[in-house]
Amino acid sequence: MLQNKKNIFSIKLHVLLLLTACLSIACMCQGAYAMDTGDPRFEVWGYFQNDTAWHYTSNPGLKDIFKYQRVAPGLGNFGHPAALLINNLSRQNIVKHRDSLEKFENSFNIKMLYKVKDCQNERLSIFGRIYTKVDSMYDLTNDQGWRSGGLPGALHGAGNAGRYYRNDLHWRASKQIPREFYVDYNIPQMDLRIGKQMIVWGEIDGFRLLDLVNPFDLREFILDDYEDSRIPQWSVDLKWRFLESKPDQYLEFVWIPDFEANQIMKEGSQWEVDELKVYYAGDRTFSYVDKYNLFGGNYHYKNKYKEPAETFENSNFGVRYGGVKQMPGGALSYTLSYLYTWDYSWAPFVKGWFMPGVGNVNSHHSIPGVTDLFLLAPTTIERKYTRNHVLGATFNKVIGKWAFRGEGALTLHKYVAVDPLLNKSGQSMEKKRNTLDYCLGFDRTVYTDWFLSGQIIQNIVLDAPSHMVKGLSLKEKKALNTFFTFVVSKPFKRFNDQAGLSALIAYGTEGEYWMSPKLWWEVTQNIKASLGAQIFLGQHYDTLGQFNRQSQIYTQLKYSF
Amino acid sequence: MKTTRGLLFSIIALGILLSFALVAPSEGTEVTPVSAEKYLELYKDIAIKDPAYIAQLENEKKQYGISARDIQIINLYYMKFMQFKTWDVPFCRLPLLREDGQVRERQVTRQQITMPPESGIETKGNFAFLSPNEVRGMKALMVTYYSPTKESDYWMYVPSLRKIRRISAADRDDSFFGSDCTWADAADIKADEEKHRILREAPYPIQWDEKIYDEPGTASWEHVFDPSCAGKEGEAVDKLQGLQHKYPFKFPLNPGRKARTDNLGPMCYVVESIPQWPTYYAKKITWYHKDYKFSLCQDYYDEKGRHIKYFKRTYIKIGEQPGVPGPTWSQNWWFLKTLTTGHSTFHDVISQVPNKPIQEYQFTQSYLVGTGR
Repeated sequence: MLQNKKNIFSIKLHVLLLLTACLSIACMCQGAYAMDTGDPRFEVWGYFQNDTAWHYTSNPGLKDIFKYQRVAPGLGNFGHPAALLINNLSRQNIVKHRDSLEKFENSFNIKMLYKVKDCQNERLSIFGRIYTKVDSMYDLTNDQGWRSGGLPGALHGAGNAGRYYRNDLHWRASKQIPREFYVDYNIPQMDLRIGKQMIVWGEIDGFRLLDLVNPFDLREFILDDYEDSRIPQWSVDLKWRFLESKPDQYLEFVWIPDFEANQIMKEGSQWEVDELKVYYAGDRTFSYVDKYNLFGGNYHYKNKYKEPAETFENSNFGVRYGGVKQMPGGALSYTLSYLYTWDYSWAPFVKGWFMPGVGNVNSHHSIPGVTDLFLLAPTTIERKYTRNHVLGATFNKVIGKWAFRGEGALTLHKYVAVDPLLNKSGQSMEKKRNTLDYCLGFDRTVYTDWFLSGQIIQNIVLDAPSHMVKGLSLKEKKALNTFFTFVVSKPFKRFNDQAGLSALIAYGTEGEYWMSPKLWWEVTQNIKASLGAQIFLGQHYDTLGQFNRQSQIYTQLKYSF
Repeated sequence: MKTTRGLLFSIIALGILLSFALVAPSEGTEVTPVSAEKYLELYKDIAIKDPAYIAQLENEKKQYGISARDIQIINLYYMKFMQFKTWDVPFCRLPLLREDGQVRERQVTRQQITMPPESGIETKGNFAFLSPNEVRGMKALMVTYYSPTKESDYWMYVPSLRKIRRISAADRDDSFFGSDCTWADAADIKADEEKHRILREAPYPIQWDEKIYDEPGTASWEHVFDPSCAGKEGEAVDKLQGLQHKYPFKFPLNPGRKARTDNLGPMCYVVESIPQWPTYYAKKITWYHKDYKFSLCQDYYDEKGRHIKYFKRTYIKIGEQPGVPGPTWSQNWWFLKTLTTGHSTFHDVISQVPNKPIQEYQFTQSYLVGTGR
């Protein structure tokens, strides 16, 4: 009861703080427009936003997460003691979170532009963006049933799931607050941007085939706005219009000496992907086994993690050529690109296997009839970032009433995961292969104001190795994966386009869905309200389907100034 | 080691390019504007191969000295600002007025360059939203073509995505950012996408209002505003040089529909246009200024003959251009009202600068992204 009162007070406090901040900004602003700074060269604008979401499904936890894992192929997948051990040592959110508050997030985004020089053919400006958010779930939630641990000496999951879900989003790290800061220099021949910035390549929505220049904050999967989830880096971006007679054509150089990894989901957090759950669970298990000598004194487990040093050699760089080709039916826009970049997500490299009573072994096939009956424990897991060469091409073209767009990415020598226990060729979990990803999409308006958009996305591993897996889960991965996306949106004429609906449906051929319907209403010029849902269907380990117990209903309230 | 060499090469190349850019500023290519006569000549071939329609146009030439189609072509010439080498609008207001009195306002900046007929490209234009924040930074790039069959191309820069989206020409019936104006209304329509017919000649029932426009050297026609309308007074003046007007803004605006017969406007051709493409209206009646051929008012009707929208335009005489006979006109106010909803849109060019030395690079996708935030 006391806790409830405290929560209600806390909610009121947060709402009050939000409203006070909004009112303060509103008083500073001139009508519905950007702040009046008193200097026409200095512009300030931005927004406050509240995102509130509720769970409407229950989370069954990780109990069945290892059913695909062929930890001991000779025994099959039933009741293996290793799975029991892992399940008991992993942090699990076996919570009945249905109808509970999932997030109460207040974000603040302010942009500032100072025009140092604004001549007709020469412009110099400085831009900065401050972005931060506070998720008050940490303060607002009761114990929703955090359950884990269970073995002597293991870490117990004290606390509550609701808090842990959002723990790492409670207060953003201070380095995330100055989000962008760069200098622009524009003259007829070129556009130069130097500083902490976002660089976006590619044509398609939702999937990132060529949009690989910057890392992403994935702690809310892909539900966050791009502007908030894309992580800016210190970099140089030069667009050079080298042909005076054809200014539509340009050559772009990108240089990024700054390394930032993708922000991934913490253990136990809501949007933790299944492969990460397996990693966290396995890491906890083998550390425990090593600590308490459960496999004897000869077994030692190491977990290595290394980020690339910020040296000149480790810089990313890219070149892109873009242009517009006039054709009888309308213009064709195209780009050709090359990007030498880090993969911002680490890949697990397993080095060395151990079997109790036998010692170090190569694989399940080491001693037929023996090593395939038991769990082989890794002796070293090394999490490394790898380099990729990405060759890309994009186009967009209108044909009749259809706007077509597409992009393709050929990634050279990309690491793909293989089952190290079944693969006889060695112990490493990663193999280098070339991959081809492409997307074709269309946009079309019908019945005056119904906007439709569709995409097909295919990921192909060329010369796919045998026993390819999705990751540490060792679940089989196909060489060809296909997704379809479909978007429909319509403004309501009756409300003078001040309200409308939109819906996204994504389908993966493994049988997974993501549906995102949304109603929006522009209450006033400055205030926009939305009501929507994120619905996931599918199986564990599938890109979208793994979140089938994290569906939510949400509201969004945005005040712009 | 290879990586180091590659990077070094890139940096050196970048340095060279930068140095070159800094020491060799471009002057750009000079573009000569197209005269109205030349523009008419470019569209002499009629795409609609209906003998009855062609005969009707010929008869109009005999009866009125000009055909309805030619009037519309010259009107498009003015609607597209083809009389200028470039057209720069540093500041334009777009108040959206709901029937209940609520006002939402967009502010935009807009630029355009006229291309030579040899390029096949008619105009390249861009516009960017200055406010409100919800659409701030959103920019569009538009390319129109001389070819009577080639549809215009559009690209849109979306700041939240930091990238450009292609827009299909089929979206021309879409509302122009929540306004009552569609993309097609905003000049993106070909002469042969409608069949035109002169109905009559008549004086335009409007009033020249000196209280609103009092700048020397300008002239304008304006429909009657209800003097009793109340609202806050606003003012917006751009600091850049160019043609500006400064007057009290009154909200809510009530344009009124009563013709003032005591002070008739200029003689007009009243022309009926029937669209030849699937669109939201079935008929359009346009009042074209008899001397200059630009449209003063368009009334839209649906297939049941119901009056669904009207679109009024006003013009400013901005003086003479060297080598161009007669006065040069530019657009001033637009006012649109959708009668089915009561919603209306005011499009007010607060300041405009014709023939500013704008260059073609400002109408490229790289510039859109390079200056996008």
